[in-house]
Amino acid sequence: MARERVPRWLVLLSRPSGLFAVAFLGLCVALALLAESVAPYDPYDPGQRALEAALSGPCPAHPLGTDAFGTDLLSALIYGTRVALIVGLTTGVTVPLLGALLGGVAAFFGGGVDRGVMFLVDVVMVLPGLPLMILVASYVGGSYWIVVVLFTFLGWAGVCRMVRGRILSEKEALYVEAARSFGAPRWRLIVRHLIPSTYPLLALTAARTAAGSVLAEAGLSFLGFGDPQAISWGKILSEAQSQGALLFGAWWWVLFPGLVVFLLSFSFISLGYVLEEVFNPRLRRGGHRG
Amino acid sequence: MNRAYFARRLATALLAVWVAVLLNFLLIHLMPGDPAHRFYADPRVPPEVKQEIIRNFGLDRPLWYQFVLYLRNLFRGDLGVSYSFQRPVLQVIAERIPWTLAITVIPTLLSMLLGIYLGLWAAWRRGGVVDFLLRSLGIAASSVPSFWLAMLLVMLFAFWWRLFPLMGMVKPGLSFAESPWAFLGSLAHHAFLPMFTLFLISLPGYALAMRNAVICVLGEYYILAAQGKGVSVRRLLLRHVLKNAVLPLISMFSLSLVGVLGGAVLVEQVFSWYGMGLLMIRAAQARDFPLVQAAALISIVLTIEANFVADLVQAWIDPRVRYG
Repeated sequence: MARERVPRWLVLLSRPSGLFAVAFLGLCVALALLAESVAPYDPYDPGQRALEAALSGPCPAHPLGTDAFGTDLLSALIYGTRVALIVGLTTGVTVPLLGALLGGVAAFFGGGVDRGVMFLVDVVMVLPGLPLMILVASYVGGSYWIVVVLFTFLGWAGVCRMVRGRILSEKEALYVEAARSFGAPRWRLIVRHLIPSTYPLLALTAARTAAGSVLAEAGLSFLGFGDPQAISWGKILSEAQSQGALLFGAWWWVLFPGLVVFLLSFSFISLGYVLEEVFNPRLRRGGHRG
Repeated sequence: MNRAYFARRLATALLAVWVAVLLNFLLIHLMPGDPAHRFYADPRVPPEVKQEIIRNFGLDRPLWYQFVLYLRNLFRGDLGVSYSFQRPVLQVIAERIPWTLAITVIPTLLSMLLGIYLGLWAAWRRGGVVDFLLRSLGIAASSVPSFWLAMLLVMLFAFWWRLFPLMGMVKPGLSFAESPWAFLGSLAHHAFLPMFTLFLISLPGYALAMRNAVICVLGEYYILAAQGKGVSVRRLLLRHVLKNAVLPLISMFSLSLVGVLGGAVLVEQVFSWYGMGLLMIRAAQARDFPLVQAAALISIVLTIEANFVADLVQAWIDPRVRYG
């Protein structure tokens, strides 16, 4: 087969799921940045709540309806992208970074350092996230930074194990041995070959972590431990639950906020699968993928 | 059983418990504000109890001494007294655990069984309809917030179709002592939607894991040999494939306990199902620190233990794990 070099971003956009993920994430980022000028109302301003139109279903004035306080749900959802993106993007960077760093340290130093780090991984892997988050929230009060900190504190372990395994197996790969036999210095092997070999893994974990933390933030806010000052999708659902949206049949108040949580999390996950393919050409046209 | 493997697992589990205990203790003292206040400055605590708390926790002593006392109390099973209930926290928690088990055990087992079946099917007819649906829906399902799914189910089944109650555990006024059957019937009626939600949440994970495990096993030479021998499909799948593919699911089962406990917290909140999860949420909201701490510690230790047991069971069944 002729080897043509396809630009990476083109591979990304050539898959329907990649195109969808990029489009939805782009939309969210744009909405988060431009919330003030895009949103029809300011959900933070109590004066702009339409009390007479409280709990109205989708209509021309309020395309996604209003909640029990008369807040326009479309505007609230637009402002809510900020919290979701901050949490998703931050953990999507910190978790792979910390995991790669410790995994790399374990793989390169080996011996006692390796054993120590892997022991720590085994310990952290079994700590459950949600009880810890609730515990911390009961002390420091609600905040979405709890999700970021605890996701980083607990999430690096899985990445660390994978990165370590990848580097150890890649070390023995024939092409690395070939480079070594040509007299490539150690740092060059590490920088040129070993570190890039972990990129597909890191892309996938970054995306998965982002997806997971978006869900976790929504969950924590739903339980009432979100930031009391900030509008978030989970908090809208929490209010829907506590103000009896289910008793009044206010389906729009439940359906739309959950749908955007799902779509954002799903975009991150799809992006991860496609990015893995982009970084790892062996997966492309590899016949049947499992 | 291999001694070294057992020792390593045990050491990991114990260290994890230690980390949890340490975290629990440090959280009290590192968080802003006077830690002593969290113990007795609550208006709900009467003065004589206050004196006892100070003595019992050594709040007038140095930090290391407090830690020793904390450990001692922990070993005695004394996790403190709840502010809001004015009773030992262990008692309060023990009353709630059966309610959480009632809605989690059956859905977890059912979704595991159905997941094994669907995974086998999808892998055997790889590329077929079931396989396609499983792969596309399975990935999407992991992005569905559990509490949102629960709310949608309530909307559909309880609000519009009126098939199930909106929330709660039993019809008010019913008691087990007076009419046990009506009580149990009402309980099952109330428990159906929470159980159905938890079942739907955990099914795709099991099915996908099973599918991938079966595909791995199907590539082995002994499967080819069995096929060459003329073994029937039924026998091949049940005797040769299932036995080997189901092993990774055992460890997944224990790991998913973490997920089920987490999912149950959210689902309990939606249905006002007063189990362990809802107790923890209400305690955290009421700033009932002894109760939140104990509840969190117990769920963490339970998770660690479940993992430990699963590791041992897996090693016991599968020699490759023991000597790998």
